[in-house]
Amino acid sequence: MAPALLATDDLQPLLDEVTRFSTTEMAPITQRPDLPASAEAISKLSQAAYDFGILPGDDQNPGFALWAQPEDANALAFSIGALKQLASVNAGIALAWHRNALACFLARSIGFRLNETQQAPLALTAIPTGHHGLARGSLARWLRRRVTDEDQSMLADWLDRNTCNTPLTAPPQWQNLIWPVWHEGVMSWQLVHRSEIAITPCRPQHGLDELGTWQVSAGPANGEIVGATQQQVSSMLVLDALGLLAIAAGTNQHGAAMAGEFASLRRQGGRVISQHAAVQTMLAKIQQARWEAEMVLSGLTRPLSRLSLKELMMARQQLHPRLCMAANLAMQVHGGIGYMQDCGPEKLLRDQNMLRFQSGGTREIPLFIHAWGEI
Amino acid sequence: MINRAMHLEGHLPADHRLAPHWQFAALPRIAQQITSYQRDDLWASDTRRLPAPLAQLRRRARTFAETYLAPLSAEADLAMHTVPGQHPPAITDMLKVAAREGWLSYFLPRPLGSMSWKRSLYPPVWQSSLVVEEFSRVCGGLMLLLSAHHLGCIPLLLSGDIKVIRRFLAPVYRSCHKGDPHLVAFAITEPGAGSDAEDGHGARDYKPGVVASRCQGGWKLNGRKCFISGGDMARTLTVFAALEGEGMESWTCFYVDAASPGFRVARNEMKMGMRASGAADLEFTEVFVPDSHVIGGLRKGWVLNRASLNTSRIPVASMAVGFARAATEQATTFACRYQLGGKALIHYQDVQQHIATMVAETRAIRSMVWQEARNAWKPRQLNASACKFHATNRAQIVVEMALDLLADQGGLQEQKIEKIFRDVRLTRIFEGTNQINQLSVIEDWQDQLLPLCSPSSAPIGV
Ligand SMILES: Cc1cc2nc3c(=O)[nH]c(=O)nc-3n(C[C@H](O)[C@H](O)[C@H](O)COP(=O)(O)OP(=O)(O)OC[C@H]3O[C@@H](n4cnc5c(N)ncnc54)[C@H](O)[C@@H]3O)c2cc1C
Repeated sequence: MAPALLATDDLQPLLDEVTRFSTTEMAPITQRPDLPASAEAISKLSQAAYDFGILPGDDQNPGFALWAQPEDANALAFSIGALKQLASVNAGIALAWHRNALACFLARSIGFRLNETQQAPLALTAIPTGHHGLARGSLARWLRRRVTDEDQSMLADWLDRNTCNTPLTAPPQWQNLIWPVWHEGVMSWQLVHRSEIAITPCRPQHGLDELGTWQVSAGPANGEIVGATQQQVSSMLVLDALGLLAIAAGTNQHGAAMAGEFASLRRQGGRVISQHAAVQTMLAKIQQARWEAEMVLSGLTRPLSRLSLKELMMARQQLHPRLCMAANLAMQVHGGIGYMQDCGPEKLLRDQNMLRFQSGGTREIPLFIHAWGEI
Repeated sequence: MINRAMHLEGHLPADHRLAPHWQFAALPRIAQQITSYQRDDLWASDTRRLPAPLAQLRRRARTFAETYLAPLSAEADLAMHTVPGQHPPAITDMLKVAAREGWLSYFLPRPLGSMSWKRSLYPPVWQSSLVVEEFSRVCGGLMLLLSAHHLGCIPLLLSGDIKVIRRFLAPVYRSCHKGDPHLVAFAITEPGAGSDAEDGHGARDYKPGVVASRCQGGWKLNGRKCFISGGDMARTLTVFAALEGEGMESWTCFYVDAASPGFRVARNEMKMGMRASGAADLEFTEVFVPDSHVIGGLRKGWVLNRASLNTSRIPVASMAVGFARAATEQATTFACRYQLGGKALIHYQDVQQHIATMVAETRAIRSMVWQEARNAWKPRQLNASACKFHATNRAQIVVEMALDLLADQGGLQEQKIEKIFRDVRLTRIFEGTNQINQLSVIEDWQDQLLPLCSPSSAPIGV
């Protein structure tokens, strides 16, 4: 039976529920920017999110959980809005949930049957890209079915999970991983259990303090492997990019609010600093980045099949640097106190940087766009 | 057969007949004198171009940084937030070596300081800029630990009072030479005055937070200073305070002994980067300072403060150069070693462009710093501030480019660039935010700008 679609009228009330959830359940454990929520607290919170229905569970009945019904514009709008809201409280947890939901979406569309433990909150995560960047233009050409021999060997290397290490940023609870692999000359999906993965823990990374980073690799004999279609890979990358952008936009909302509030209280130069043109300019640029993110995201709120990966890549290329700049400005508006870990903007800046580095980063996007060709 | 080891993709090997390097060898001797196709290391050739005493200083600073700072850098950055003044023994040992080797006393020539007489022909700001770049390149935090001390000493020097120098600065330097690091901190910032402590227009309206009241034989200081680099380890501090009942025009520099009753390091801030150096919150409760410890005279603090900042802002710009350089070096090494699609990233044209831009950006800001530093016998506010805000803004862009090149690996601490980002970020905030430094340029320039507002005035030069 097809899952029920989300009615337009239900969208805002549902998002209000997410706001309530994030304020009452999430904010208390993430209040101190210098003290990341413990793994235990995140587990409990994730269980609450699962019970509440934000995190997907039973794959037969996805409900309105994140990325559960991406063919429905309202459901997609809900996922974007919810991630934005969650990230405005904590980007790390929002990313963990986004990747968990993405992995569940993938399992559903690929046909991996998840057992009960794999469906537990945070048990499953996904790595959407290869070991570095976006395989230059090769991934785009593969997706557009114009792959050359050179692309094949690039992709074979990019998705060589056996000999290359890939960084994984996830909550410590992760147990299973879905990722694209290059298997016997074709792009495939691998679902693999943590015990089958060679793992090197990394030192605490730049941001997203709630999560850890591991260098991971796994051989082809491990887990389940099935062939991947262009549409599956494209869908995953589209949803991943949407999630990253929504989280980045939510993080910026937080920074914008903090900067605005601080600027209206702090006095320097004989007046509150929001009265100085230098500060007004910074606040305006933060607002502008926010507006750009909203515009782009609302333009991208369409059923999944009507979204082009090229557009999403262009959006990432455009927005991540803008939102990083906004996070920098939020810190700058705060002056010295903004540089301190217990103030807030410092963490937002690190988190925003981390979002920019995810899923291949942004530097190779022009090559991807060019290789994709005209829409 | 040509292999990748012999040339980068898109480029001919150096011995190819179309390679300029190959043709260069065939040029007449005179032509070879006026053109160059050397394969020198950029750092080495820049160093050679410096006057010999400064070249030697640059080489020594690099050796010291690589020998003593680099091994401590990651650990110092990752260390838990400590209570004020507590440092791992390795850092204390490093400070002792730095003190003995003269890295804490090079603003004055021998026998008072550690500056060689040959070096004294060149502005100390230039010398400091060279040293600071080398130290920042390996660790922002340890660099700050060593450099904030000089800022603390600068008001003593700039007082221009031989007695002050002999009585206060000389013992500091002497103690350092003996391997007993005596650190000095510079304290202007107060909870209510960050920018207002660096900008006259703001200071005009500020009600001073640290106030000196007259008492028998001296002054009693009360109030709080914040964000004071090295304030947790300093034995003495140059503290700026207003005289009781007066405004910021009365600012006076007091030389305060950290062992004085009533002085307390309340806490160290939890910083994003440069974590090896403490940014301390200092409390003054009836701290007695004898008259003899007033530096430069009563009500001479504001000018001393501003002159000190003019002296230190070019070295701050040089910190930024050190960070940009470190990021460029790390990213280039990554690009040469990281394999994608069967070859190192450096073989891809877009990667080459990316790195070339980082190199150019880094060298452009270094040129600016050296240009200003070489003439900084009397550092001018406009030049120092322009150099500070521009170099630090551009340096952060270089560091971000390095992170972008590493993409998914960018956030990993193991790759070292994320730490450089956290370090470089501070340079846009302290020593006056970059916004305040922009205003300082105009403040200094206004005597020329005001006449320009009249249509008949002579043109200005930039
Ligand atoms: C890690 C660290 C180390 C430091 N070390 C030292 C030290 O050793 N000694 C010391 O004395 N101080 C030190 N400082 C203080 C530093 O110099 C100040 O933080 C800096 O000058 C900014 O002041 P503030 O933090 O109060 O920011 P604020 O002055 O509150 O500035 C907040 C925002 O308002 C803007 N603003 C303020 N006034 C104006 C104006 N008039 N016009 C336009 N815009 C304005 C600023 O640009 C900024 O964006 C340190 C600071 C840090 C963070």
